[in-house]
This record gives sequence, C-alpha cells and structure tokens, in this order.
Amino acid sequence: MLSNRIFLLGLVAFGVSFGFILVSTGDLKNALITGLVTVPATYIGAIVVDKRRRNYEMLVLNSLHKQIQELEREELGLHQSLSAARMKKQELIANVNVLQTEINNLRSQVSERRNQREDLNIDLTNLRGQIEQLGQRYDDLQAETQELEKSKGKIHQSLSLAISEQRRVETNIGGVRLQLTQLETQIDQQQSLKQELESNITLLNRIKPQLEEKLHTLRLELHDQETQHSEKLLLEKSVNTLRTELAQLQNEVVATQQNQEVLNQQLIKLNEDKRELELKLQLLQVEIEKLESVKVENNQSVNTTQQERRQLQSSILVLQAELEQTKEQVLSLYEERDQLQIPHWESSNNAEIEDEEFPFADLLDTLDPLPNQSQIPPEWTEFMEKLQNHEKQVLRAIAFTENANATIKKIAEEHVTMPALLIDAINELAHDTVGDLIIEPESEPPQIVVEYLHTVRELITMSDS
Amino acid sequence: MALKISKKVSTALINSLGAGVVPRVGLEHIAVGRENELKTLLKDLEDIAEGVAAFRFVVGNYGSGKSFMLQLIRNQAMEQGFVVADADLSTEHRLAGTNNEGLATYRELMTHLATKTRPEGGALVSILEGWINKIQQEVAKDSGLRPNEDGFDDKVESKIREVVQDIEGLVHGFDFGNVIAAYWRGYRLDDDNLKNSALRWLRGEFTTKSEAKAALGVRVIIDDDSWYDYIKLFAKFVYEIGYKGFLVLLDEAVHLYQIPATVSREKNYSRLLAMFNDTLQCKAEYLAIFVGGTTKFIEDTHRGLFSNPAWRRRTKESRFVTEAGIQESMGPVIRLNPLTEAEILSLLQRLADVHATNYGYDKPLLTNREFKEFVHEIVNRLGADALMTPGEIVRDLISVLHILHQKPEISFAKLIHGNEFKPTVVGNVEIEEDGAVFSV
Repeated sequence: MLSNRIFLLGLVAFGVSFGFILVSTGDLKNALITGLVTVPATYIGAIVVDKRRRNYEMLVLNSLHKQIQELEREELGLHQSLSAARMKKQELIANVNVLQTEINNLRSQVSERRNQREDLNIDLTNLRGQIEQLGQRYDDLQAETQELEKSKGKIHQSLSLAISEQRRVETNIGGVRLQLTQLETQIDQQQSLKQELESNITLLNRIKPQLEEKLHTLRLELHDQETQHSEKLLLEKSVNTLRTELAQLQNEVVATQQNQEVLNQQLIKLNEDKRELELKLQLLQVEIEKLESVKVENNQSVNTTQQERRQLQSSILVLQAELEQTKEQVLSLYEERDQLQIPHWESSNNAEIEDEEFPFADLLDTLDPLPNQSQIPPEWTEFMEKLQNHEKQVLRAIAFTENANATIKKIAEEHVTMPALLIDAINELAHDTVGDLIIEPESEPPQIVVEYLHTVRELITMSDS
Repeated sequence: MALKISKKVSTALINSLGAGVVPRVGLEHIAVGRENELKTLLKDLEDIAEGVAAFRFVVGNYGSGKSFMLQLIRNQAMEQGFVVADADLSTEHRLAGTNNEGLATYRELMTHLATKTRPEGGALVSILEGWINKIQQEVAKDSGLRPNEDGFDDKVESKIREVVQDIEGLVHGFDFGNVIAAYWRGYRLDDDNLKNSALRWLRGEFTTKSEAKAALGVRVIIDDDSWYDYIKLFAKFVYEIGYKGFLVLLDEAVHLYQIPATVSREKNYSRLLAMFNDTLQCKAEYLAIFVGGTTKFIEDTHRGLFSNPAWRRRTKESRFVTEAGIQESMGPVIRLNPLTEAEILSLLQRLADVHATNYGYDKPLLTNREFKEFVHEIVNRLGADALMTPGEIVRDLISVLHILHQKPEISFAKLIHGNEFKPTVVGNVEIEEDGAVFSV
C-alpha cells in the first residue's frame, strides 16, 4: 500500500511538471528533464516531511508512554487501596459481628436484670407489708407502754399520797403524845391544888360563924352610905344646870355687844358716804353750770352753721344750674362729634379714641355708670362645682384672712386629714380644671396666687350668696 | 400658627432659651427629635409604678440636650403623679466625700423635692404629712376616736413608732420614729419650732449630733454614709401614700469625672455602682435614678466609669448592637445622637412660633428658606460640629428673632451675613490629665 502511494506520488509529480513545462514551453526534452528532476525532489521533500512527522510522533509516543506508566502506577495504587478497603471492610464486618454478639449478651443480661428487678419489687412489696405490720405492732406497743406509764404514774401519785398521809399521821401522833404528857402534868397539878383547897375549906368552916356576924353589921353601914350618895348626886345635878344657864347668858351678852359694834361701823360708813355724795353734788352742780354755758355757745355756733348751710345750698343750686348747662353742652357736643366722625369710627379702634379724646369722663361717671359684669370663664365654675365644702371653707379662709393656719388646722381635724394635704388637693383640682395652681405652694402662711386673688374672692362670695 | 401656651410659660421659655439655659416649664412645646429616648424613659416610669426600679445614664456631649431631656422627663413624671427630686452635681455636691459632699447632694435633692402641686420644691411637707395622715386615719378607724378627743394624739404617736419599727432595712429606726413623732407633736401643739426642726432633720440640715439632740432629742443624724438609704426609704413612703414612685435626677455627672484625687473619685464611682446595683437588682423599690453626663465621663478608660471594670461590664453596649447600628434600649446608657438637619429646622420653626405667640404677631418673621440659610451660615462659621449643640443654635435664633421683631427695618440676610453676627461657640472641652480645668 505504501509503495503504491510512493509510486503514485512520483508519477503525479512527473506528470504535473512534465505537463506544465510542456504546456508552457512545448519543449519535450526540457519537460522530461524537469519531470525527472522533480520526481527525486518530491521524494526528498516527502522523506523530509516523513522524518519530521516521525519525530513528532515519537515525541507523542514518548509522552503517551509516560502517561501510560503513570496510569499504571495509579492503577496499582488504586488496587492497593481497594484491597486495603476490602480488608477494612472485613474487619468492620468482624467488629459488627462481635458487637452484635455483645448486644445479644447485653440484652440477655438486661432481661435477667429485669427479672431480678421484678423479683426485688415483689420482695419489696412483701417487705413493705411486713413493715406496715411491724409499724402497727409498734404503735400498739407504744400505746400499751403509754398506758402502762400512765398507770405507773398514777400508782406513783397514790404512793406519794399515801406516804404523805402516813407522815401526817405520824406528826399527829407526835403532837397528841405531847398533849398527853402536858395533860398528865396538869392533872398532877390540879390534884395537888385540890388537896390544898380541901385543907382550906376545913379551916374556913371553923371561922364561918364569926364572919356571919361581921357581915350583918357591914350591911347596915352600906345602906346608910347609899342614901348619902344619892342626896349628893341630886345636889350636883342642880349645880350643873345653873352653870349652863350662866354660860348662855354670857354668850348673849357678847353677841349683843358685837351687833352694837357692827352697827356703829355702818353708821360711820354711812356718814362718810353722805359726805362724798355731798361733794359730788357740788361738782355736778359746777359741771351743770359749765354745760349750760357751752350749750349757749353751741346754740350760737348752730346759728352760724345754719347760716352757712343756707349759703352753701344757694351756691349748690347755682352750681347745679351750671352743671345742667354743661351737660346740655356736652350732649350737643356728642351729637356733633357723632355726626362728624361716624365714618372715621367705623374704620378704626373705637375704644382707643374714646380713651384719648374724652376729657369729661369724670362727669360722665356721675351720669350713668354702666353696669360692669365680669365674665367668669367656664373652667373656674367647673372648679368651684367640683370643690368640696370643707375645701371651700379652707379657700375662703386663705382668701379673706391674713393667717388661715388655725382655721385650716381645725378643718383638718374635723375631716381627719392634714393641712398640707388640703392645700395640695385644692391645687390639684385647680391644676386639672383651670390649668394652674391657685394657692402659692411656698407661702407661709398660705396665700392665693396674686393673679387669681380677685377671681377667687368673687367666686367665693358668689357661691356663698 | 398660634400655639396654645399661656403667656407665663412662653415668656419663661423665651427668656431661658435666650440665656442658653434649659427652661423649667413649657418643654413639651419644643421637644423635637427625641421621641425614641423619651419613649424609653417613659417606659421606665411605667415599670417603676409597678414596683421595679430603674437606672439610666443620659449621655451626650455639651449642648446636645441632656439637661433638656432630664427636665422633660421630670415634668412628665410630675404630671403623671410621681415625686421628683433633682440636683446638679458640682465640686461641693458629690455622692460621697470627706467634707459631707454626699450629704450636700442629699440636701439639694430634698430641698427640690417636687410634685404636681408643688412643682418648685418643698414637697417634703406633703410627703411627711401624707404619711402621718395615713397613720392618723388608721388610728381613727381602729379606735373610733376623733382627732380632738383625749388620748388620740398619744395613740397616733405610739402607732407611728410601731409602724417605723416594722420598716425593714431602716438604720436608726427608733430615732427616725422619734423625728416623725416630733413633727406630729409640733403640729398638735402648734409648736412651729418643733415642726421645722423635724423637717430640717429629714432634709439632712443638722451637721452635728448635739444640734439634733438639742432640738429633737435624737442622737443620730443623716450623714454622708446613710443618705442613700433614706432616699430608698422615701421611695417606699411615697408609694404608700399614693404617689406612683420616686424619680431622682442627677445632672452634670461630669463633675465626678473631674475629681482630682483618684481615691475619692473611686469612692464616688463605687457609690454610684451601689445605687446601680440596688435599682437593677430590685433591692430598691419604686425608685428611678437618671444620671446625665458626657460621653467622656462614661467611656474614658483612665478616669471615666470604664476605668472601673465592674462599670465597663455593665454599661458597654453589646457588640451585636454596634454591628447592627441601632440604639439599644435595654442597656442602661441612652445616647443622645445629634439631631438631623430636618429635626433642627423643625425645632427652629417651633421656636419661631413660640416667639410669635409670646409677642403677639401673626406674620412669621422668617420663611423656611431663611431658616435653612441660618443653619448653613452657622455651619459655615463654626463647622459641622455646631449641629451637635442645638442649645447654642437656639440661643442664636432667639437673639435674631428679637432683633428682627424690634427693628423690622433690618433685613435678615444682611443680619446673618454681616460681621456683627457672632454665633456662640461651645466652650473648650479639652480636659488635661493632671488637673481638671474646665470651662463652658
């Protein structure tokens, strides 16, 4: 195949160059030579090109070889890693198996434990039941012990009572024994006395008749003395009565003497009064004379004043006449002014002109004073309505008196509050309705704020009426 | 646009704002752009009425509106029925100190104790009398006696002592009961000296125990260590007599930052930490403490609160918040971000309305475009930092409005572009490390 191509190439080159030269020059020999020359030239060119191509392909081949080597190396590496991975996978599978066996073991253990736990629970419930029983027994026993202790206590008490009684009885016995010994000694004493008395009686029986005779004489003497004693008593009684009468008479004498002295003093006083009155009478008479003289003078002055009054009345009449004239003049002037200045007034401020150009304002005041009604804004009426009665009293006190502290204190006492709180309540209400505070907070004693004083006073007097 | 404000309020507003000072009344008319912060603080107030306590720092630079915020919440709280007390910290008023600086702050707070009906201060009398009245009414109910009858006064005195003994956590309970009983006796016997001595004791105005013994017969006084306990006690009191809670406002906390000696500065920070812990662990009830201070006071790691690790842990914003870029309302620090230009313009518009209502003219003096020009001129002269201090812009606007109102012949453009217009510069805020030199 290749040799065919080479032959073809040479043929073509010969053919082209032969044909070309033949066509262009028509020289056959030249064309042949040229063709023959061209053939090796083309073969050399083809060889050169071929060599170059071969070199290039060798290079490519080398590089491809290298790539193949690298890829082979990579393939080896991958194989190794693949084998390693396979080994690891086997290991893991082995591990997994081991772990599964462990899991199974653990599960069996867990089930065992659960069984144990159930057993323990059953035991626990049993034991709890036993505990309850024991507890109950314990409670019973405790109750019994308490009862026993109570009875023990009672027995102790009774024992102590018995002991104390025994002691008491013993002391009683001791005391009784002592009494017994004392009585025995007394009995001995009494017996000795009795013997003595018996001996005395025998002696006295012997003396008895002599004594009876003495007794008789003594009785007679006693009777005489008694009669004398009674007479003496009667005499003493009469003496006493006489003495008391004497004392009474002496008292009466003293009393009458005192009365007499008192009457003397009164008499002296009356005399003195009489003298004073006489002096006064004289003074009064002097004054009367003076007054009469003054009266005369007054009469004279009254006369002069009456004359002056008549003069003044006449002058007043004159002045009134003049006044009426001037009034008429003023009214006419008004009319003239109105006529002249109506267009001017309509365009400018009326109030100002009146104030500036009116010199007869004083006179007009006496003519017809216009009623001056101050208009009270609605918030103030609202404030007064909402104010409570005792607060109104406080406000009145502050507005109309110099020092309202005592009044405020009294109102605070009546309503169980304190003065500062009353003032604050009024101010708060004012703040909410009127929009400002009306009692000066810093003032002592409390004062209404100056700007509102007039308004407050008006409102209070209006609400009072 | 005529606003519905009374002449008194509008005059007060214009005068204080023109002087560069935060007004006391009328704040709600010019509150612009702080709705979120206000909502957070109002929610805190609701919580306090339920019995919880709260502690917040209101933080911003000079002129950014901290004092304004505190005043605004103060007024709102008073309207809602809270008792408020406010004090500005300074060199003499701190939280603790060797020279009774803490007690001085307490005294300041007690003098400025205010309620809706006593907004300028002096509400201590109302609270004391309200508490005594509660006891008086109980005694009247239990015993059936009326106030003028025999034995009533003694019963009330003994009941006061009984109730005081039951207050847990109260130091010097016996003597405290004596003080309250002294006020009651002074009231019943018309002895004003005794009443005033009791009030002075409660305000912490006795400086030595012998003074207190002579006036009231008690052997203790409120001192630098115990004043905070009495604040907690008053919070419980005010709830019992019907108020919703007790709000304490401490402004100018930067003065704590400026204490030169480290030991006393740390002592003050520890006291602040104790107050913080008490409120947020609910050991105190019905109490809110809001502290206004600068960013440096909180964040300076050498001298500020962050130098104390306990504080850093509590106040640093969580990193999630800084990543998300939102204002955290759960942490204790409320930062006042600068107002946007639209908010500033709205504020200036409102101010012009207030000015118009006050001076009684209908036609507005400045158009919208002129407001914008005004703001731009200030930014031109002072830099963009000027927008962070709305207080100064407000002051300048008020002076401009005054001039335009009094001399209508001057044109607005000439006024602000001319040489005489000197917008106020916020003062030097650099603070040297070795000495706290400070000027506004």
